[in-house]
Amino acid sequence: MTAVTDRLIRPAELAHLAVGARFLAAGAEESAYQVALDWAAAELAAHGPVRLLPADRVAPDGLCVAITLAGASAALAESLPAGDEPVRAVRAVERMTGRRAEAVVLLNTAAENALIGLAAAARCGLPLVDGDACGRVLPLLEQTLFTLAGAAAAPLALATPGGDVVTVESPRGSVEELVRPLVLAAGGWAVVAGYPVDGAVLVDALVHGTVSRAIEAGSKEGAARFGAWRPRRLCRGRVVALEPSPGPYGPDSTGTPVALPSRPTSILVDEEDGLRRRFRLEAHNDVLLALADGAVVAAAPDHILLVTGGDGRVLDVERVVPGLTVEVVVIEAAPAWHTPEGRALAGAVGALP
Amino acid sequence: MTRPLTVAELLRHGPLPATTVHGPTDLPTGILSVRIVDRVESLDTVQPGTAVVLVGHAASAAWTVEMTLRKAWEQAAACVVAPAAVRADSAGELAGRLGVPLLLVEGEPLDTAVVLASAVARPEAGRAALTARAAQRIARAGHRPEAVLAVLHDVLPRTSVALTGPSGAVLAGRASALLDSPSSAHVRVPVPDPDGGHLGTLTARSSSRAPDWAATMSEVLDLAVAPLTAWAAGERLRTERSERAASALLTALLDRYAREAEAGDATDSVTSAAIALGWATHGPLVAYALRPDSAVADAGPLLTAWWSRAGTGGPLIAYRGAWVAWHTLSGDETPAEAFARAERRLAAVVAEAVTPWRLAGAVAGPLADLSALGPALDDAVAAAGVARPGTVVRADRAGSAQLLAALPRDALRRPAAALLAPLLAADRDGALLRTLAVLLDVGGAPSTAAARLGVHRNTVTARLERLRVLGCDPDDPELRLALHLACQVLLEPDDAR
Repeated sequence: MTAVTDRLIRPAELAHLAVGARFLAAGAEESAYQVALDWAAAELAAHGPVRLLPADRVAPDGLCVAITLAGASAALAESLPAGDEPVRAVRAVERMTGRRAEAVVLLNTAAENALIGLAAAARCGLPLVDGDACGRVLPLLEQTLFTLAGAAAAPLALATPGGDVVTVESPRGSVEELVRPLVLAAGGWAVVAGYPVDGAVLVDALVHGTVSRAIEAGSKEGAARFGAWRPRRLCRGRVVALEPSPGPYGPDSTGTPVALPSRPTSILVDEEDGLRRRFRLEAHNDVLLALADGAVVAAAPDHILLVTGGDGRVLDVERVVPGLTVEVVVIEAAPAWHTPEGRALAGAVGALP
Repeated sequence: MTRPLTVAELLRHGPLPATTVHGPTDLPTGILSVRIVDRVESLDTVQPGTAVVLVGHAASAAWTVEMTLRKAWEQAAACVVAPAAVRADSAGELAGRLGVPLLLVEGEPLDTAVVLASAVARPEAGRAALTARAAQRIARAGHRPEAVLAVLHDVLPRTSVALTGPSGAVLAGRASALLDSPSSAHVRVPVPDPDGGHLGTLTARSSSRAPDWAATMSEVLDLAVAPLTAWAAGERLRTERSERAASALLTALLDRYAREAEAGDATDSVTSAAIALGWATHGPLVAYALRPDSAVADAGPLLTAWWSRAGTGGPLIAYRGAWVAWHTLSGDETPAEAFARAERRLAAVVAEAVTPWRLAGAVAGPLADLSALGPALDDAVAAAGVARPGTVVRADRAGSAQLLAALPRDALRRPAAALLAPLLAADRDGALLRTLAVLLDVGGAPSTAAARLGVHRNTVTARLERLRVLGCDPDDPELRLALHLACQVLLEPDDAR
């Protein structure tokens, strides 16, 4: 039987996953993260370990449901979960599709999302697919490789801590604008189950191995953690200035995917060695564009990160101040994000709207 | 075919008003065409030698300008033209590193492109045309320094010109011409007075670094020397014809400097007229008053003749019932020593005066500058009124000079510097002091302070942390008033920009 060789996520793996999944999500809210961690730990304790399945081991015609947290993660700490939100959401999707879910897949393997996905798998008694729909974090529900592969986010279901379940069926590709106000009305956060896809779709569309990679990274110490993502170093230097910026999409462009809460900022970094180039990082929640002396050296959808020079922590761009010594590194996004369609969906700089 | 217009020529004689240039300004690169670019991607097809004018998206942010500069460098474009509104400190540095001139131009970028295109199409407009135009315009401007300087500014693009008196005070033109900056070309042309002495100096400063631009500037300045000397000659002639004119001018001059504390603008016709007459206008000064022992009508010609032969220097002018004079204390001595010597000389002159009357004299000084002259002359006149004939008294014992010297700013500067000593020691470019001042001005709100300073909020909070570490916490109620006062005292004179 295959189940014998399956990798299991037990409390020890959860501890590593919790560290590894948080690593790239520098802006994660501490209290929300703790709530999600406690939640996942409680579900593991109550329902036993979760099987971690490679995508090719999911039955090709078996239904997989993607799980993610929608809304402000800070709200999660204020309005605590009842625990059955994932089950209610998954059951609602099952009702709409008329099929039983056979596996849970993560929308992205970042902080609370990974932990809540794991809690969902444990509570539903389903295996968790080793991979996610994004490979990194993007702000909108429809910004996934599943969308690129032709799978729709709807039918999807939101389960709120108040016990409500809202189902959304939509022929359109964009569900974010529907879901956002619903989440607000629901008290700030909800567990979303959506993207009902067959196992066969996962094999092509998934970014494979993100869960096991996060577990592996979490098991290591210090700078070695980072190695799992194969980062490419762009420079080491000092932050010399922060400037307000009209943003990487220009002042009156409609390219920005959503009204993000933070303000666009330019981070100027002077390279300490080598060519002593001047780096300009255009940031809006994430670093979206990196220029070295005016030449593009990296751009979203690749993940551009600022890492502290000392202890190798990833910095939240909102917390960068002049004078810090940083390394600028880039983690390459999944190849599908680099196709013209992928760049357009990710809202990449220079992509046609 | 005519040689194409080069970037250096464009910047020197160019038709672009109010242009700031970053990067090299003396490139011999010919401009072959002009191209308007609104998307950064369009630059991939730019031909070598193109002047790239940025509009729309391409001109919207510092990062697009930097990308454009890079592409312009890769494509060997001649220069990049962007609207002045772009925040371009970093882009300016990049222009220097890549050697691609970045021109920041005020006004509508499309207008700039049109002007640029017509200049590129007619490259023959050159140095000779410029000089010829200058000569015509100066000839028409007449002799008044203001008019002459206005013409110089018109014909020399991106150049500041100032006419300064012997003290260095600006008589006409722009004080910015005197700023010493290594990135600009300076030209100084002496202006002689009608007697062959030194009337003043014409100084021109230009941000253009083209090698022959200095020569062009000095050629044009030379054209202005004759009208300025003629102006001085005219002024002297007019005043010598009338004692009253001199008295009136002195009154106007004293009035002007009594108000100067608020005015702050040193360029005015009164000062110019005083300098044209050779009157001392810069400190340290000594003031004299003389009073004949009997009222005699028409004493003026005799007294002035005697004074110019035997006196201690300076003009002798009728003022408030007495005769006054003043001059600059020169030499290697301290002002106090020079003043003491001036007092002894006047005493000797008054004792030996061979005039129909006996004279009583008074001295006041040393005076820092003209603003102290009025009160000093009043003191001296009053003191001369009580001096015995044939003697000289000092009028300045309890005079206003001492009161002026005790003005709060001077008195407070040292304690202010002591209070802020740790900050000043750590503050290389003045940013911390300005940040502290602004934070105190706005009641400690970092966002408001950031907006006023034009920096990011996090920059302000980071500086605030440093300020606290340096013991200058603007939120400390014990310190706040003292810090604010210290900032005001230290920033007032130099930072009023």
